[in-house]
Amino acid sequence: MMNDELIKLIDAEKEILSTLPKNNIRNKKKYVETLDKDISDYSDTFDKVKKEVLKRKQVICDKITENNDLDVLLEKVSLIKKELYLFNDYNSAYEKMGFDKILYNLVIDDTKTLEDVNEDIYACVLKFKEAGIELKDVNFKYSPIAYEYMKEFFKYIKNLKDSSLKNKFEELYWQFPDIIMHIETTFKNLYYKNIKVFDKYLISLKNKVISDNKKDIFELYKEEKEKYDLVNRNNMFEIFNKFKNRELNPDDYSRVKIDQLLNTFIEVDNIDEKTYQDIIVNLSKLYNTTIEYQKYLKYNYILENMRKIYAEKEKYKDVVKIKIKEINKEEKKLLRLVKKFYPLKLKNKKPDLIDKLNMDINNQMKVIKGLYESLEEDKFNECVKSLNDNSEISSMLGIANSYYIYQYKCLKEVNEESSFNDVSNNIIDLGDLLCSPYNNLINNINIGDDKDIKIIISERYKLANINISVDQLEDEGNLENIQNNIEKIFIFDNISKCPVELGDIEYVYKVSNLIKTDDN
Amino acid sequence: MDNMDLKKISNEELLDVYKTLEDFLEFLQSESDKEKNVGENDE
Repeated sequence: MMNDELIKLIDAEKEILSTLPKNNIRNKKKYVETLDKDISDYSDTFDKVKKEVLKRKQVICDKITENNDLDVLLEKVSLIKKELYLFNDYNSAYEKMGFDKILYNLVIDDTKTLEDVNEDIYACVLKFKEAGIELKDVNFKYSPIAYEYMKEFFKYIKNLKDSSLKNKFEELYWQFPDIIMHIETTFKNLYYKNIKVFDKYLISLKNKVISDNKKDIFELYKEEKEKYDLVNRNNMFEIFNKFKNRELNPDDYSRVKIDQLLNTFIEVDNIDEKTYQDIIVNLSKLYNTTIEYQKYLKYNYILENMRKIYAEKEKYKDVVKIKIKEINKEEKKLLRLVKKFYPLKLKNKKPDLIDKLNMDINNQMKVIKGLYESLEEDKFNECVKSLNDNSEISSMLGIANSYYIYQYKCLKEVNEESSFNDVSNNIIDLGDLLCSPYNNLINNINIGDDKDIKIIISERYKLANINISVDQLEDEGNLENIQNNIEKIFIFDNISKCPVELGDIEYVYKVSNLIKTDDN
Repeated sequence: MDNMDLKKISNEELLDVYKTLEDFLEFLQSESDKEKNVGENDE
């Protein structure tokens, strides 16, 4: 009513203003004076109203407090997650230390600058140091070219941007364009020479985690992740802020609209509290299943590729052992060449022979590099060989996710445009899926199964009276639609349990649109 | 107008009042600016 009275008052004011003469400068001046007086009078009232509007908004906002447990829970989950790689039985210390990724990218990433290359070399040196191995230039004598560069590298290790180091690289690069390959292969040789040290180091880390937690680390992760997810899903502070920032619209959360959404999943009238809570639990499960299924579809290209390798698994018997023998044999040949090279180089005699030896060493290094690359593939293939028809598809995905180079090549096959970042992101994303506490599909479907997963999901939820048709699971858009609808039901559920009502949220939402303040 | 007891009105009506005042102030300001501009040009 107050607004109606105000409108009448304003209309009358406008009427008076319209009757004021503006026919000469004097009258116009008077008209402007009247306008300015009105502005001053109404501004006072407006300020008073604005103050009351914001005061009421603040009273509502103060009822919703931030949950400080969330950060603590997230930190706990993140800390445990960082240790999980130690318990991966599918790969070796080489992958666990990250040498596969650094050394592979070092060679194939042609966008790397000399600074990037030096940073990668430094990262490898640090990884050796982490395991207790202090590398020096002499450790690189395996390749005279790598040794030549690493002598300078260690001299400038505290200032890798020094121009002398850059000059040295350029000088060597024009003579030996394969210099990076020499450094890469030398690091691989150094790793295998010290493999036991790395294994021991990782076992000591693993044992520390075991003694600190006294519980299966994957189970512990799942427990903590579930705790975090539950608190996060019910994080009313964040939900409320989304309304306040107008990312969410309260109109979408009316009882009528939520009932309509609920009816797309379940046909019930007059839902009692117990049934409602059961529905929320089942929808929560369905939500997780759709995410799991979505990721299953996303990574199906890996399963298809791995099934081909798996079909030929008998080919991969003892391949690693055989390859290591072959590498040892070729490295002996290299050593013979290197042994001839150093004394001649020291005396600076027979330059033609030095050139010939350099060429032979380079060729031999290429052979060894090829063998090391093939060894990495063999390690992967031998791991696939450990699977059988009864293995779950999560094991297959777990193996794929343990080998960076395989993931890289596999993704490039389906999408040539994929970047190194895409591969790294996929590894993180697939890793999240593999240790998720909510997996039902990938942990129960075997490699040999040819069941239609959509039917399995649909039938499973029919048992819980949730309607979800095979068609609804058909494409990405539909799956996202299901997830969005369930998220809305969760938000409604949270609103119904929190100290403010939907009407209050609507008020805050409208105020945020009318008055811009620092917090919206 | 000064005697408006804002405490007695609902949230919804408070926002209506806010909007009405805001619109009227905008109208007054634009009228004032318009006349001031015309005045400056006349001079």
